[in-house]
Amino acid sequence: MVDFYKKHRELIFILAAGISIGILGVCLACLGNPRNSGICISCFMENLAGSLGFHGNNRMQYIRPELMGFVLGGFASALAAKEFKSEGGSSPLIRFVGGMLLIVGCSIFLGCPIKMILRLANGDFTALAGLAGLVPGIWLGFVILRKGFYLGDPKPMPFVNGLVIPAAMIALLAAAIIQPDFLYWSQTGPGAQRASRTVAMTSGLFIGFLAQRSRFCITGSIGNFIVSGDRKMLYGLIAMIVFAFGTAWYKGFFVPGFEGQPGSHTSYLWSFLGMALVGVTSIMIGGCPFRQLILSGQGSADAGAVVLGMLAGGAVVQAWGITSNNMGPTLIGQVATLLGLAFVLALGITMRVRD
Amino acid sequence: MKLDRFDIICISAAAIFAVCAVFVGITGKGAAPARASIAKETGADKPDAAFTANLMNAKVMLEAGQSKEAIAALKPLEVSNPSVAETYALLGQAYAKLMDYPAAMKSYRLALMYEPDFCDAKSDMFIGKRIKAALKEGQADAKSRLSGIATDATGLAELEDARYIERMLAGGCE
Repeated sequence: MVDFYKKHRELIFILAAGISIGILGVCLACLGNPRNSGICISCFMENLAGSLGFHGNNRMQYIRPELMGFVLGGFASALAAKEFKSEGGSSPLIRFVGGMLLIVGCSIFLGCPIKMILRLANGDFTALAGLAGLVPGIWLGFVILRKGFYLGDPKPMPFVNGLVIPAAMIALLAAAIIQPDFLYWSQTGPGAQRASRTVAMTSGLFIGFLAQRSRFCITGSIGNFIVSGDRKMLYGLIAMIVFAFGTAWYKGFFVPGFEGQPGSHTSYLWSFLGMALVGVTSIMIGGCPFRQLILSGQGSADAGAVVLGMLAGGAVVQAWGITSNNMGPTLIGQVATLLGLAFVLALGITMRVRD
Repeated sequence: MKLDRFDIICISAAAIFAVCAVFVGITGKGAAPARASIAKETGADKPDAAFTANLMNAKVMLEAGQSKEAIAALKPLEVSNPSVAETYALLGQAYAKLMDYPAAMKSYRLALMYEPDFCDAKSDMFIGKRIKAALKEGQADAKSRLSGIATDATGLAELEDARYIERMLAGGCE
């Protein structure tokens, strides 16, 4: 038994992470989070930005304890495994903009890669357009990497640098518990749909811990398979889909179809392009929005810059009307997606290391 | 710096995306209105006391079963203050009572566009059950229209409105 564990330790953690995200992603929606959005990093970032007063959509204002859980779970796991490394300095501003672009792409599709999987598992077939965009986006990201795109090596930094994001998350957690008046809290809308703080936080911690141990990443799992045929991480993704589907079906949340799906639209081209932007950006900056949270918990100031970029993105997409809604993508959202894609391609050649 | 094939492909693709962005930005076809601009619109469209009194009258008429009279009273309000969601909610109710489902779907769609809280069970404005009942009839009506003529414009518009309402009622995050 011990030998088996030692031999397959990595795979076990990957499967555990995938299964827990799948099950808890659906359960959190059953317990109060918005339908099909039990876990969605982009929605949570938009909620957080709203709660901090960075945008005025009073239906999207809440500090989701899950976010803090992911980071602090990753932080605890990294400390326990002696993997906490305070490092950074690898093109932080580019990474900040990358974080913003991640949220722009997600908001066009209406969800991050995790929500995309949860939407599919709940029977929302409109998410297939997002998956169809994410995969070539990831492929393009790897092509750009292979052609020499390089953000620079992260360098060791004073210990306190790596603590900034976990400390900020502790402060936000305190705010989520105390709910001070100077912050904003939705009374109606998605921001008012919440699982209990204890459940949300515990789930986040559990998932964050496993995700740090396993290095689980949605875009990474697809990317590793495309590039090197490495199936390990892909098994985690498959486990996530299967268990999310099973839980949704068991809980009666599985409603298959293209129409009448919660938090969706039927502009497939824009879902495709939005997720393509997320795919390519994730690979260029080293991980999907979820993975960036975990990395920021284990001391990466570069991932911290992405997280701050995602927070800024959460504010911008709501305040400027970039985010899509049930009617479809907005004009400024369409323009932002296209410009985002042009930007990452331009970045792909300007940041190349040439022989 | 010498450009290789990859550079040229990337530059071309980036240029195409940028040109598309300009084109989309200029034509602006098929884009949905942003929540932020809808909120601005509704915020600027503050009804006066006379409007509110007329709206209340229409509500009383509706409750008394005078749907046609209520519609006649609501129509001028729709013109004077086009971003007030309550007008559309009452119009939707009135049209549904008269079994004019295409108009009911259109009105409820506008109501939900201007005030998503109508379908939020946590809000005091919640009228989701009423909308759901009308939606069921609207969907059946659209189906029957389109079963006769698949390209029937009224049926297609009704179906489109019904689909939006259905997505809104399903909830989720947007």
